[in-house]
Amino acid sequence: MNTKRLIPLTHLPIGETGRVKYIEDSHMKRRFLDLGLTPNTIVKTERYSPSGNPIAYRFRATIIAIRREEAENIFVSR
Amino acid sequence: MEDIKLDNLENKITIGLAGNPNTGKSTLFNRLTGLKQHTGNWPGKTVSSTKGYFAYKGRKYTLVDLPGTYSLFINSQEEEIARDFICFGNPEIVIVLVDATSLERNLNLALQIMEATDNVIMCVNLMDEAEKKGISIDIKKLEEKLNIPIIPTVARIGEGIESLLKTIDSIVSGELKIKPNKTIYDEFTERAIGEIENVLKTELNSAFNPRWIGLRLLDGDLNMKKEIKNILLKSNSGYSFNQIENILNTYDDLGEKIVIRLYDRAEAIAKDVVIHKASNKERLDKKLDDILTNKFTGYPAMLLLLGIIFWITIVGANYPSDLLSELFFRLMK
Ligand SMILES: Nc1nc2c(ncn2[C@@H]2O[C@H](COP(=O)(O)OP(=O)(O)OP(=O)(O)O)[C@@H](O)[C@H]2O)c(=O)[nH]1
Ligand SMILES: [Mg+2]
Repeated sequence: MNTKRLIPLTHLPIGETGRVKYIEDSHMKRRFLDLGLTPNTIVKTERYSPSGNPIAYRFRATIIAIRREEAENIFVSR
Repeated sequence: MEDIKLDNLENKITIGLAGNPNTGKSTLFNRLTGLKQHTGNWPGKTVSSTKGYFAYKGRKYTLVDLPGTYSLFINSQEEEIARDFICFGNPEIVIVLVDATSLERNLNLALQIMEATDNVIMCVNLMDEAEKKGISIDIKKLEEKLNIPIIPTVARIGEGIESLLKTIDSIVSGELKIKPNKTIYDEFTERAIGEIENVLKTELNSAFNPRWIGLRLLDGDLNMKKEIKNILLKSNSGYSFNQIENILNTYDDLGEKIVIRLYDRAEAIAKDVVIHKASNKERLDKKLDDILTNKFTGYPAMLLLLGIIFWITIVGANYPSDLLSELFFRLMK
């Protein structure tokens, strides 16, 4: 089913959902896991802040804002 | 202030108040202590911990309002404060407040706290919000799964507070003994925990929970490692610390595995105890849609509706037209 390529979270349009498949190794990786972005978690792009950074994402029934530079390290399948 | 005098009394029982950001901890704190700790509608309002006091059935309590965190694994100042209090502050009881509208996420922290200490009471707060959203929670089942007392609350209006106080009292009086159902990890991780536990059990006094310390060490928590090293060196057990270092070298960093397991368990429990009823509005919407889009009832319903509209235009001209047009457009879809 998943032959589609992965996209960084920042490319997920508003209102659409994706499944977390991969997080780039960085100092934030563990932080994201702690927040609940574990493999296969469903994430929805909720809205952009006025400047476009950070971006609000909804996962596990909570909205959490993530900086664009950091969201780029999270890869999802659609 | 009056409360400060209470501070000097003997036998005060310390209770910690933990939970995710914005779950109503400060609201509950204010309810119990009569203080006016700032509450706010955005997360991260409480940055340091605040102490307050209350008495119940002749016992004096110190209540500590902890900052809101999603996890106890140190990533931020707030998490460190909450973790240090729960681990080294020696609270008699920890109350963990969870948001009834997002139980799954909130359970993650609760499971971590249950790993660190046994005397945990869970308040499922914001029950009124959950109700509005058509979410209900099988409290009994949740209690069975976690094996800790669980109290549904609406902190804003004080609902459930009496029952919380009674539960606190029965724990303190020894009437109620709590033995949480701990999270079990995969075989490999469990073996590693067991090995560290064996070393620590003989070295540390019973105030420490060797399983939890083992888990934190395997997670690569450097502060914890330093802390344990200090304790072991002080009691002249340098050899034990070497043993622990060896174990840690044998088992690679298990941190990610541990986090994932906790969220998986939280998800599984939430699936079992959270019931999504459609809210009242959703239910009405669905019913109307069903009637209007059904092959057999759709046409008669449309004719009937047209008849009513005709009647209203003639007889009762002031009928809210929004409602009518909404109903009509539903038909056209
Ligand atoms: N509807 C409803 N609102 C509540 C309830 N409990 C608290 N609130 C509201 O939720 C908001 C957050 O409450 P706080 O007590 O500040 O939450 P907190 O957990 O201390 O937040 P942090 O300190 O940021 O972690 C406030 O606006 C409260 O009035 C409840 O049971 N029902
Ligand atoms: Mg607070």
